[in-house]
Amino acid sequence: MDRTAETRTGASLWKESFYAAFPRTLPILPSLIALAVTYGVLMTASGFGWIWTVLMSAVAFCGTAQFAAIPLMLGGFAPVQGFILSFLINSRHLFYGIPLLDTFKKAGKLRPFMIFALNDEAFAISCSTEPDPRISRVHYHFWVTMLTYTGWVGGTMLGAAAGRLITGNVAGLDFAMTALFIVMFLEQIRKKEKIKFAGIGLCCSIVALLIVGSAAYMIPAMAIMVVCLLGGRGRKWI
Amino acid sequence: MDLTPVELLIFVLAIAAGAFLSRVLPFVLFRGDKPLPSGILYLGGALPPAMMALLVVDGFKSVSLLQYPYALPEMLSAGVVIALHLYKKNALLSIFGGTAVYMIALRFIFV
Repeated sequence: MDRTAETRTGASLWKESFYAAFPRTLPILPSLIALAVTYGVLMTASGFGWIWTVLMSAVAFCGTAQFAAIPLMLGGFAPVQGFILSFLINSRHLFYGIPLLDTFKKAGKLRPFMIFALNDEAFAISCSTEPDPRISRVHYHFWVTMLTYTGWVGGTMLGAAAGRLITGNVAGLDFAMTALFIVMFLEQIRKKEKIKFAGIGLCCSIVALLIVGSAAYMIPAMAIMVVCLLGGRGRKWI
Repeated sequence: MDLTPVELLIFVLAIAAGAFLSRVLPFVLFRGDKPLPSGILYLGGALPPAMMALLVVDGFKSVSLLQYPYALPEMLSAGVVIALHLYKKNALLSIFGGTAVYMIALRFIFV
């Protein structure tokens, strides 16, 4: 008897939190999936097999850094550079953990997945909405994360499948990547206090490119960027 | 481009490891009542805009200002992306609009 009651509570816990999370996540899914499709198309158009494309989305699950890794992977074997690039692009995640520490403490078996698949959308939805207090916050956050993860990996599969059908002249399609970065850049500098950081990044990147040349400038650019950012900390020079 | 499957696998795992480190670090560093080091938090806010600038620069790294077409297709398309994004604020529209202009420019304008 007891056992049945317990199972039923467990099942409804999952179900109710799903019904709470789904409508909250739905509005952001189309653009997330469209971006994932774009990634799948670009990867396959760049000559990578669909297995690698989907694998990347499944194990890295980090939008921008995945796009940034495409030209890097086309340039040759540079995993250390890839690791550093990915960590620095994803450094915004450092913020996300703190407000979620409490929720995650109670997550038990779900915790590793929730940390592994932590993302902008899940963070924003989870922190900006207050679900019904009767619904488990842990399960709510889990479902938001799971839905965004499924959307991203599923969208990548679609894109990789579509990419294989594209056989015509795709010259210039890779500009989508630059366009994406320009958009992200514009989004970043909408906050006034971020313009200084963007300016430092721009100067460091151009200086490194001019001195080192396009083949190996990225690590030097990131290194002087970190030094300049730390050096400029707290100073008001713009 | 010609990476072996093993090299590709290592590459993919390296990208994944970098992303995972950024996600797991607060949970590892934050123990008890000790707050996250302020330097780490500062970089977490300062690096994304700076890195985005690097990625934009990276998109233009192989463009030559001295040879025909003097970076004009890239400038034109980047302008379209920026204009679309400032007016419509729709990321997908800006990306696809700019890319379409670029592909058209390569084929019909700057041949």
